[in-house]
Amino acid sequence: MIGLVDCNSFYASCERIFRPDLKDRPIVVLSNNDGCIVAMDRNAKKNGIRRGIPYFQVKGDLAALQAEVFSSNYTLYQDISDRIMEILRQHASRTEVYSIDEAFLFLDDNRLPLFELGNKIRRDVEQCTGVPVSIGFGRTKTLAKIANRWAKNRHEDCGIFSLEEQEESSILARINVLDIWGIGTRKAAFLFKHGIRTALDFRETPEYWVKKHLTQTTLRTLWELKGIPSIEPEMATPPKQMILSSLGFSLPVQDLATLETAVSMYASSAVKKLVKQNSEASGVMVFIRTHRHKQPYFADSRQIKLPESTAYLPEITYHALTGLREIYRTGYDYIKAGVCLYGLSPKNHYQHNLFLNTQAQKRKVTESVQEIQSRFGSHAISSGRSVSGGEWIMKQKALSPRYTTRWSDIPDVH
Amino acid sequence: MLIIPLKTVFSHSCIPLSLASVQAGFPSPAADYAEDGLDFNELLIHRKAATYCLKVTGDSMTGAGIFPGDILVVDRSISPANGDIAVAAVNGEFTVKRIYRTHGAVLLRPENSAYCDITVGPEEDFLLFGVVTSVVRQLKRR
Repeated sequence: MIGLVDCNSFYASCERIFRPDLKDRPIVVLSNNDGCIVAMDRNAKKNGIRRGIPYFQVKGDLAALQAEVFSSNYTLYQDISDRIMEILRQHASRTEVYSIDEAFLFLDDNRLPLFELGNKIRRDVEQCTGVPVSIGFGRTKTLAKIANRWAKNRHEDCGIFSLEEQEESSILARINVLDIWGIGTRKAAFLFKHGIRTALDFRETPEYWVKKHLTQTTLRTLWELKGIPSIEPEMATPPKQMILSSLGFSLPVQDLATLETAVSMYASSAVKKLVKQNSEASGVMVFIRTHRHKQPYFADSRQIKLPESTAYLPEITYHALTGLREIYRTGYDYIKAGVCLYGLSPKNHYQHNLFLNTQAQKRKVTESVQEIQSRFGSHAISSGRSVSGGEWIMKQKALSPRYTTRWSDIPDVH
Repeated sequence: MLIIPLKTVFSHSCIPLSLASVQAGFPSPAADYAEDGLDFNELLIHRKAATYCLKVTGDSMTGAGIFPGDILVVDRSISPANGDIAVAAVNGEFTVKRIYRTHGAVLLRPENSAYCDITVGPEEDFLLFGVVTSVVRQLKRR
């Protein structure tokens, strides 16, 4: 069997660990720059607060609910996530982290009854981190996902559900196709049009029909519903085809020099992600824009094709800045800028241009920079253009302390 | 902040950026016996995923050698035995005390005669955070 562990209201639960005073208060977490609601606890959800709503629209409602509002503290969430994944590794022969708050457990050598194992895992994670989790067991990842959903919605009190083979048909008959992992709104609409409404309807669809009308991925989902494991880790999270680094400014920016500093910093953080996934980019895109609903409005972008694929920061920064200088116009209040790397390919599979043989040297620099950053932190070395700490850095008015990763931020106890 | 022009660092001579020292001459006869240095994480942390640090702000535990400014190493995975020093949240605030369980109630006992015992009834808002396993006090900071 495969288990899927999913943290309940993860971001809100992380914020609550060090704030026992918020035990019964609704909690919401805002997106980068405090624009939208990205997460909320059950209490806030019950009161109609939804993900994706712009914060200013519900500011009054939240105050009336006495909800606590937080800026997103990804440093804290990542640390708590790492702790939870570490605990899960102690309970399963193999685990696969699927997202910041979800992991699959492979239970090949488990001897405990599943309900007992689930209970043990839940108790351990909650005791060690304070974060409540739900667990679903099924014969495949897709079935485990369905079991997890069932556990969350129908067995809220115990948070565990094991989908046994003989029960699959009766449960799948009560699941909407839209709620199957891997079936998006467009596919669901198509299936609906052809009278396929439940997960059971879909499981009984002939393979040739799925092959003819839908994708290979959908066929895998079909096999998974039949109990044949078909989704491998690399299929579940493909390497990114594009890397975007962009933030809004907390204050409007007019001058080119400040934009240059921002763009250099975004280039640097995009390259960091690029190197981390072991890829090189063949193009750079840079963009700037003013506020969408304010006059005068201005937005432009420039794409630059690189002479050859690279992950070399000075080169990528150079092209991003060249593009920026071409599109920059004076007299506007810019509130957002960004850098996007595209045309990504794995580092080792690329055929190099014989006449531009500078690649080896550039790679050495890239690797050295990565080494220094991993040993001494990401601010230890950067390109000379980007200096952090400028006034345009992310707006995060309600950021909680980094309780678990900074000595200056550890919680007080009386 | 030290600023080095990129040109000087990455010139064509291609000097490797090395952080280790270079050795010449005879190899050390002790090299085969080398061990890693003392690791404070190993000494202070038993289960990393469950370990948290908190800073003491009050003086209710001075009798147990816990002073304001000390850093408590707290392991959430341990269930407290009677008399253990633990961190708990009472009515929404973290407190460090000796913990005793007596039929149905929890008793939190300070180690300073200026403070009184706290008896936590079932109707009160109580949440155990974890057991204090070590205290870190720095006497001189560099």
